[in-house]
Amino acid sequence: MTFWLNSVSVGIVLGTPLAYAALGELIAERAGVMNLGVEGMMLIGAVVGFIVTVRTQNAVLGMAGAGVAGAALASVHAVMTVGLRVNQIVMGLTLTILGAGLSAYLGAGYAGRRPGGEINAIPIPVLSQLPVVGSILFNHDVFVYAVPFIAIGIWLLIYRTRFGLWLRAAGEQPGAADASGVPVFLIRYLAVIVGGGFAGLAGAYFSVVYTRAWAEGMTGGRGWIAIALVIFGTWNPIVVLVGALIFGFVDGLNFQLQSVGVPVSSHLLAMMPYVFTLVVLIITWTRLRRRRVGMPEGLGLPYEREAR
Amino acid sequence: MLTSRATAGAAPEPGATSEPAATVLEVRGITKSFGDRVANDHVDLTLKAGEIRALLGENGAGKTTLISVLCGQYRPDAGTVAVRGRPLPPGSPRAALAAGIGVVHQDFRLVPRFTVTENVVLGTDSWGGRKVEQKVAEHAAAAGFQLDPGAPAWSLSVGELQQLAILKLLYRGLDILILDEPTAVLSPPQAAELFNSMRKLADGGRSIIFITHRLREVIAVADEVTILRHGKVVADREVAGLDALQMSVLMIGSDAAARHTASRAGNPGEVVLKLESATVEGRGVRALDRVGLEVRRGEIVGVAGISGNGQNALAELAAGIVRPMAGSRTCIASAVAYIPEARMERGLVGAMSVSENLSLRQYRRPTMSHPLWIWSHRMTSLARRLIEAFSIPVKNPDSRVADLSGGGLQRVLLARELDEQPDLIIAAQPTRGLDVASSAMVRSQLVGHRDRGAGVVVISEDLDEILELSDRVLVLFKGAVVGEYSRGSFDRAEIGLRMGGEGTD
Ligand SMILES: Nc1ncnc2c1ncn2[C@@H]1O[C@H](COP(=O)(O)OP(=O)(O)O)[C@@H](O)[C@H]1O
Ligand SMILES: [Mg+2]
Repeated sequence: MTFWLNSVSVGIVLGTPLAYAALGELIAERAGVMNLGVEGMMLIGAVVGFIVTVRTQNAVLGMAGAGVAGAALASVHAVMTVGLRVNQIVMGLTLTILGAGLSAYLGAGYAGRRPGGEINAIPIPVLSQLPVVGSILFNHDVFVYAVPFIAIGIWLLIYRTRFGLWLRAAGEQPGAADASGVPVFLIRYLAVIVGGGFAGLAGAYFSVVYTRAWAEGMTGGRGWIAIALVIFGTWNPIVVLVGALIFGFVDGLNFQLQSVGVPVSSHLLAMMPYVFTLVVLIITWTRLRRRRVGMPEGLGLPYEREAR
Repeated sequence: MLTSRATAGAAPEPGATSEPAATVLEVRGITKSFGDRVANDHVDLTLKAGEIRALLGENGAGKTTLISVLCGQYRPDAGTVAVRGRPLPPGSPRAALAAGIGVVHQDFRLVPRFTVTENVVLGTDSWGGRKVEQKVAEHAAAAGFQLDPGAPAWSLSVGELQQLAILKLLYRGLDILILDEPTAVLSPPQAAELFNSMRKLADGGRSIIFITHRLREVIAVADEVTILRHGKVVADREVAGLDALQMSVLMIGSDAAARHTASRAGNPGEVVLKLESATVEGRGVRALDRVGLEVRRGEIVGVAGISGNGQNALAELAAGIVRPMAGSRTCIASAVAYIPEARMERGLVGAMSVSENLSLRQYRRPTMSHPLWIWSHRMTSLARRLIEAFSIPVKNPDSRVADLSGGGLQRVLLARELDEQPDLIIAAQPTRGLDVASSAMVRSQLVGHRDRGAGVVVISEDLDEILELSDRVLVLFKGAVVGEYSRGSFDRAEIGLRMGGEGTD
């Protein structure tokens, strides 16, 4: 029993940064811009968050710095793909490579150090005393608590505000949006940059909040999982959050199983989340093809006003 | 943002002695080039309140370019636009909208996944919701449109999409309305209905620019006409007192005679293609519903209908690209030529050269290649012969096919498909978007191959073209054949009705 309770609790913690990264990517993709640089932005967020925390001994400042760093890297993507209409896939891959290299360089002296500042768990009074669910749900840090509200907030933003209508229009039919007076370029810039901020936070969650250490390449491909989660969640923030939590649980299961010593190679166990992603993607993709929901029609296509 | 502007430029009371109406739009010296092609060359145009002005011109004359400048999508190289005396900043769709200019683009520019309401309010300060839906419904009713405000745009018919695009402009209170070839997607009765709505809007004080290349429509609805030829204004006058012939000479110039290659009747022989009760489904919808069709050697069968009524499925089925899901297709032709509607996507390989494209049907012949290689000099000599025979506008057979104009592309396609003297020719929208000379060449090729003994199917939205070429006419509506006529018993009005799904027994 405690095995499963622990797995769920760990799953929530591991799912949280994935949710941030995936929700950020969702915002950019809703505006029509695919950003495959999530992994790079997470790594930059992780290293900058860690460095700022070490320097200031303040984890809150560290997290903020990580958000800004992720947004800064994303703004490169925005300028190149929205402004100069560079191929989004090529640019995203470039950013991932750049982010990995740059983070390794910046973090060279920080491996093995302690951050000095912390983001602590805040048990919710009364609720955290509840049997079973208390420790699973109500004994976490503020980023965990915030994530469902952020997902719902993004849903409301997309479907219940003018900005959301414009964002969706820019992603679906930028030509139609532009002709209607929607500032398509501004919206695409904003969406990509904000999305990058989310990725930066997600990266720093690993280094500053969860492991409290910096290691090269520490996000271990989770940026890619975040991108897959957006597809899995059919571009719906609520489903994306649920997907992130499920994935976090599978990821956590791997550690839990290793710690109780099941007689399976740890390498095979570590594969689980990725196999899971693959299966889920296949299922979603076949589902997507049949329904008229999901992928923004203008996703991945640069918009040029004077093109035919 | 939603305040109605209709009052600002109110037209004189009907019947009131005509004091000169105010000028609402003044275009001076607009020039716009793409590379070395001058699409608009010092174009002037004036629009008065309550006026319907036709902008008439051949395909490629520069009509769409001009209105793209007016709505801020294109930044002109030179020239100015003023609305009620105030200059419009160039290159800003927002500024054009704020000045009251609204365009119904040829492709409508709607968001398929948005509801009617979301499409209508996009760009205003609202996002939708119950109350706004109510308001959109009221505006639709006032305009005489039956549109469900909650329906997604992808579920609408082409006619409804056009109404939605117009509603969008009315809702925003825009009063300079520009419609780019709105009748291209309508059946004749639907077009007549649109003309009624346009007249009502103009009587209500709005000013309208109506783009077309059909002379009869100019006479039917417009007060004034501006005629563009090769990007230049060649006439700007009242419609009253102009007749169709005068207009066509102005629009086309000395080529005017080329348009009428009135064809003689064919001489039908054995059946080369037979479709029996053929049904085709695409993406879950029935694209063709139990269609029967017989094509004989030496006849042209014309398929009339508004785009989107199963033409694509019929063309691909007739050409043998798709198989019927029910029913049958029997074809005894040894070579089938297919001139698809999407020339670039389905007909040619844009990144390859003219000569490579021209050899696509023949490259495997022993005359052209060995199993391991292609004789490129033979490819080139084939290309040179076809370039000459079809007057393809390229000097070098190695130039990229993607750089050709619409007429050039179609000539390459025809040359490749017809060189083998096929027994069956399927041509979908064969003259759409072509200049007069290319259209004439396409038609005379089709007639020539019919006279040689090929069976020909011509699918076209242009009813005049169908009536001119065909020995037999079928009308396609919602994937079914809803009428069939033989040469000599063509009734333009009745065919028009059936194209819109009316007049069926
Ligand atoms: N965005 C563009 N890029 C390059 N050439 C264009 C573009 N738009 C139009 N043209 C060219 O300008 C000319 C006029 O086109 P257009 O204004 O669309 O004519 P119309 O609407 O009268 O048929 C054509 O030769 C066309 O090929
Ligand atoms: Mg046009």
